[in-house]
Amino acid sequence: MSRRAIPTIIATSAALASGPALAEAIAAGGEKQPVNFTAISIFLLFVLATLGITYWAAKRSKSASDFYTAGGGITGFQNGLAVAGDYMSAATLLGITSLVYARGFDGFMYAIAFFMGWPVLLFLMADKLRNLGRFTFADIVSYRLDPTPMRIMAAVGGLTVVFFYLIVQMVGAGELIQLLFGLDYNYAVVLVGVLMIIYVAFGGMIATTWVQIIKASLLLAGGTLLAILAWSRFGFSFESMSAAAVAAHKGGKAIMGPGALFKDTIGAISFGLGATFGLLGLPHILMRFFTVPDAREARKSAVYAAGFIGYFFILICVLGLSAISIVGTNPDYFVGGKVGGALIGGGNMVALHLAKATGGDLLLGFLSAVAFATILAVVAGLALAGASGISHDIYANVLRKGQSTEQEEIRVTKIATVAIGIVAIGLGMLFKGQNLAFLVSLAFGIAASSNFPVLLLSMNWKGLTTRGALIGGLAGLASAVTLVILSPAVWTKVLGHPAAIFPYDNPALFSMTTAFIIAMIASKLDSSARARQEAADFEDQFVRAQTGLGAAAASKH
Amino acid sequence: MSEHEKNLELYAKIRSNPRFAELTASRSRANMLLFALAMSAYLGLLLTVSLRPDILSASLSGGVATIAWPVGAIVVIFSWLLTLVHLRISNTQAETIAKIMKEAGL
Repeated sequence: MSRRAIPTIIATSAALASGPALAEAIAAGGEKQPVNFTAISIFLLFVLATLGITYWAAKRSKSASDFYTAGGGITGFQNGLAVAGDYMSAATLLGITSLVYARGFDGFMYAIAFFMGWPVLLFLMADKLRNLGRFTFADIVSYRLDPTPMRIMAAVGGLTVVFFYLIVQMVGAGELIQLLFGLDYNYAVVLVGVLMIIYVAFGGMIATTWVQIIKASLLLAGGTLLAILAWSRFGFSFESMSAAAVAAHKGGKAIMGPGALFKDTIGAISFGLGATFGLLGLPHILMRFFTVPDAREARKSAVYAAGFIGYFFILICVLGLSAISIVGTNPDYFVGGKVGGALIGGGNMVALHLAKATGGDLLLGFLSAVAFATILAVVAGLALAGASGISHDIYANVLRKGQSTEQEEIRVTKIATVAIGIVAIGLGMLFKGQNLAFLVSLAFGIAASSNFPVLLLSMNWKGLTTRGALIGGLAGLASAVTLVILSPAVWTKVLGHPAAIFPYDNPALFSMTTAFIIAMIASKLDSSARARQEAADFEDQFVRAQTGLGAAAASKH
Repeated sequence: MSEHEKNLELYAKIRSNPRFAELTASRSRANMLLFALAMSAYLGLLLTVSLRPDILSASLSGGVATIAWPVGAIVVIFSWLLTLVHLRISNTQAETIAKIMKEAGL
């Protein structure tokens, strides 16, 4: 197995970190693990349970609303768990644990950055999303602006983010499953792709939500148990855990404070803004806010999600910090028994070695199964968001101008799901062993620089016109893509040039600002009759955004 | 009259209620304040990490543990507590909205 393979798993969460830190964090030593029967049994149980749920959900998924948004009948608590599940991928558990293990406090700062989007999402848009949207975030940006071009742009922005994310998840899934279950890479990718198609095509949002809820609960429970077991080794003392870590880590005392990762201030801010505002442009996250009955439940979901994610991220840091001494000094977990050399299975295996060290094979099996379940649930959420962009935005609203029947639209969603699944399997195989860190920078960069500015302005600024939104959104998209190509992640690491033209790994500070400024200037310069009408229409949109009057209601089951 | 036309009429009625303007203004003030508080806490931490790492490397209780970790956790917990504040404010405002909508004939 390729030595470059492991970084792809960590990449999902870790790619936004600046500098060369990650290569060091993920010194790979990948080799296939022996077949783990506990893990396989627990995983099979999960698959059986979720297929049962899919069967049950398929019978209840009749209308387009059932299919896209579970009929709007998910409670705030359930949705909080589900949306947290969408966000807590295998990369979060494995990647951030490994980052703290390798870099100490910088790893914690990394986790905090990915938490901050949640309170911001609540303050800036959670209730307005629910009041204005129906199935996709394109519903909102096309509410008073010219629907055809706005939907095309939103769907393209959304699908791009979904596909970049999917590739990273599929490649990560293949590598991880190969490692954990001893299953061949290609089989693993096909297995994930096929299960994802079944969940989404048959069970729609109802099945996807429940898969996500079960997985999030397992992940929270498993993480909590692991953290308690690990921390108990130090008598639940933070000082003893730190002292053991400092003694075991080659960085010594330096790992306890800020290190090199955030030294460059501009790079640090660009990273922080990208992580925070990128969340507000991720289509699979935004879509979940349409599954609750009203704005009140939408707010509740964001509060619950923020709570679960904040808790989980702090937990993960306990895992990473305790692993420095528990895993880092035990020759059993190093290739050839050489402490300080390459970790068995690669640098991404820290959390799993910690499970084995504190809870034996049973806990290792449980955590491996949860990691697999996590990948499945996350790709299912992505596939559903992608499929709804194709069917609801492109097919039903752009191609058929809203004249298609619900049944036609649902059929297209199912076809799109199968197509996305097949494409995802193909891309997963194609990109095997590639360094995909830049894809995550791109996904978050585009989300923060194109989807988010247009969405925020369309909901809050009366002056936004179609022309301004299109020019601003495209400017954000173009600048994010260009800056990522010129950044170290692509220019030096992929294209092999000696020095990057754009020195930062994350474009958000520049590309997001560009999008906002250009959208505002272009709107101000737009004096067309259409622009005046759009400004007038804002008044009604504003009342609906504030009151929910006229918003899509929950369907009764 | 279609559902949509009925809604447009109601929108106009609600808009003309002075308490609606008052409510939405105070709502957006609260949102902006909470947003500013959360972002200042986070950016404050980020800038301290970047520019004055020595401050955060201070010992927590005389040992090797630094104040950086609890400060990081406090930023997370503080921001989450702000979401609870938001929830409480919005629920009070929701009652006012319900009254305004009732006055508009709903």
